[in-house]
Amino acid sequence: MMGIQLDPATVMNEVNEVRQKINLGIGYLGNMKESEIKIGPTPYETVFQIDKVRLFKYAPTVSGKTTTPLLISYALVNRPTMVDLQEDRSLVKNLLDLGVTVYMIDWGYPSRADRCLTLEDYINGYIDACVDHIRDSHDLEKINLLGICQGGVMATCYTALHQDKIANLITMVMPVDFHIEPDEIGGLLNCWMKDANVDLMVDTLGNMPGDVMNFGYLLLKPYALGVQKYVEMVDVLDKPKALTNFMRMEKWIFDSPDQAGEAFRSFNKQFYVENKFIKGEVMIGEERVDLKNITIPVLNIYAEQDHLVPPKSTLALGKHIGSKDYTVQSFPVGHIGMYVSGKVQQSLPPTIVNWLKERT
Amino acid sequence: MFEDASRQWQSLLETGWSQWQQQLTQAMQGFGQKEPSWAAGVLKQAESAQRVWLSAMQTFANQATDFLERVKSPKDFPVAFAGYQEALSKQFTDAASKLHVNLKDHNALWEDFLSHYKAFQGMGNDFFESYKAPSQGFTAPNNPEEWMQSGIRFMQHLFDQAGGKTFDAPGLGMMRNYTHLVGQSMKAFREEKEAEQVYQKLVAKTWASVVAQMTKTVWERGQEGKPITSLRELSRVWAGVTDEVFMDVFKTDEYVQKQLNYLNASFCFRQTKRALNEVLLEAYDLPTLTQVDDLIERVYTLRKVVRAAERGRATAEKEVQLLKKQVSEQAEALAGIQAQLRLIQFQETGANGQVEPMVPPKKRTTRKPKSGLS
Repeated sequence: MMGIQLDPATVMNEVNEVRQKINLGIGYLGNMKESEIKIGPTPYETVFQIDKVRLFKYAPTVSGKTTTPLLISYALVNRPTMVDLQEDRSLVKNLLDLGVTVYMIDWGYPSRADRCLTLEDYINGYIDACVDHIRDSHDLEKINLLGICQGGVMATCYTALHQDKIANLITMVMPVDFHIEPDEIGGLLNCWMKDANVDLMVDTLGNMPGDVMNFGYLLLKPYALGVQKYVEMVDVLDKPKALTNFMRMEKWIFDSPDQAGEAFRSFNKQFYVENKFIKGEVMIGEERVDLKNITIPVLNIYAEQDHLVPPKSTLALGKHIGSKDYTVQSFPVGHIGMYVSGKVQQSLPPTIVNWLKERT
Repeated sequence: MFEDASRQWQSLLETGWSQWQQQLTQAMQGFGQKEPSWAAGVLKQAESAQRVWLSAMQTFANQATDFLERVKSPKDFPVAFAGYQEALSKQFTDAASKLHVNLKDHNALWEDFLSHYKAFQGMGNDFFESYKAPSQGFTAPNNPEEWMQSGIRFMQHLFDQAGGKTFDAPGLGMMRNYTHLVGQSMKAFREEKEAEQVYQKLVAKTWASVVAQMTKTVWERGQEGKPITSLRELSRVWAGVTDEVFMDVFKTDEYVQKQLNYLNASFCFRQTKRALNEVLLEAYDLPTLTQVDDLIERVYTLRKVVRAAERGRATAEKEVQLLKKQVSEQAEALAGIQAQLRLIQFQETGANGQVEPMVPPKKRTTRKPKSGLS
């Protein structure tokens, strides 16, 4: 076959190389300690708790350079530790080093007993309680809010409803237009969920299992994420640091909490199926979310190669909010690359901090 | 030339990859107990991934070699490729069909259906004892009469265990309901299987497209003088082609609809299983998931009421504090005014040193008790 010209010696070299890598890798893995793959290394204190939701306050590493604390609202999907994956890949640590007082909401692991929790509970209940706690602790009227992915959607809804408590809003890799057409970057998730029978799903399953969601995400790139990643894993077996990073990432990916049934139902019906976010028709409890109500400064950060939340979806925000102080910033990575890419971690935290300082 | 190259390639591939796999398997066996448990899981997945890769490459090598042998010159390629694509598609979808249960074979379907309820038997109950599988000598219940008979047998058995010793007659409604539910569940099971087969057929067709596209890519690289020269490169080219082909299919309405149908059918079957399980649980006086969910909902609602009350109390307390503060401030202001008045009065009457009160004493507002109880 002319298109494939494998030389026997080359192939045998590759095979021998792999054999050596496997031997070394097994040795490294056999001696790997749980502490080495710990996720979320930055010290924190749980300063507030309501039901299973906890509010973490991270210990400042430098004396106060900024006065307004920043609250991070992560998605309900996967764990918020993605922003503090490891010491040299930690958005939280980098923000602390730049003098920001950081708080983060940990949504916990919803069980069957939490299946009735609604989006209203999350937004007007949990987020609001955390915001109030921080305001009271710092004796401030307003704080800064950073929402990531689905957590960005919730943070944006919160801001539209409670703008009197928020000074600046930062959104990262946040979907806004849920009915974009799929392109070469992504958009499949939107395409698949548009006609989904969400009621049937929730009525059958109660909560949406994290594993089911994970399977859906893997299916977006079935071969690359399901097979090729593990085929290529051989190449890091002889590199202890890279192997530890790989294992840590695996640990994070498959640590997926279930989604509270009613919140999942409401989120998917209102956003994915009916695309109400950009229509100003989302209802949180009895209140309508009108993005035009957001008039505070907004920084919208997106990943140029994001296959889960394509740039087209994120960029729709600018057309729909009322703010005249709107900034967009992108990075040449994918959805997760935003947190794990070394290059992005060098430039993303200063981007956020400088933007905030200009608005203090 | 094609034959020699592909034979050599296939042989190397098989030798190389079987060694690779053997090595990994041995390593897995030698993997100690010290490692975090999930690490072994990751390695297991790595081992499976290698196997999938090897199998994919072997299939590709066989298919592509046969095809490329037939292409005698570049100008023959387009016509030959169209036929190749079609043949691959048929071959893959036929292979997928053989992996599925024949939906017309009631026995096979019933046997498969019953296996979903083995979990209950594993719990120490023999709920499904009277529902025999074909391999146990039971006729496949493809007619309502058989189902009714087995339903009655089952309910008699259940009644003996659950309430027969106490009551005179079984719950006829429950029996009918149960038999009806078994029928519904079997129907939902068949529909799920149908939807699954339709979905898997499309996936098989997509795999055929992957093989065809990879063949084309390899052919083109040969024509361009940029052959693949290592297993790593081959692996990466294959991965790129695979996800690209799948992406194109995943976007289509046909795929989206078939995937949704499969999902929905699965959920419907799961609901019928739950309904059946709940009948059994109720018969044994065990709480059902529906009952538990009702309780969860009540607790949730009550918790909201309590929270609202707590918020109301907190607001009221704040208001009380505010009022107290206001009263205190006013009292202070009053005291100040009184002091000033006394001072003025003192200045006015300072000559004789007598101070008369400027403010008349407050009237007594406390009522006298009507009775002499106090």
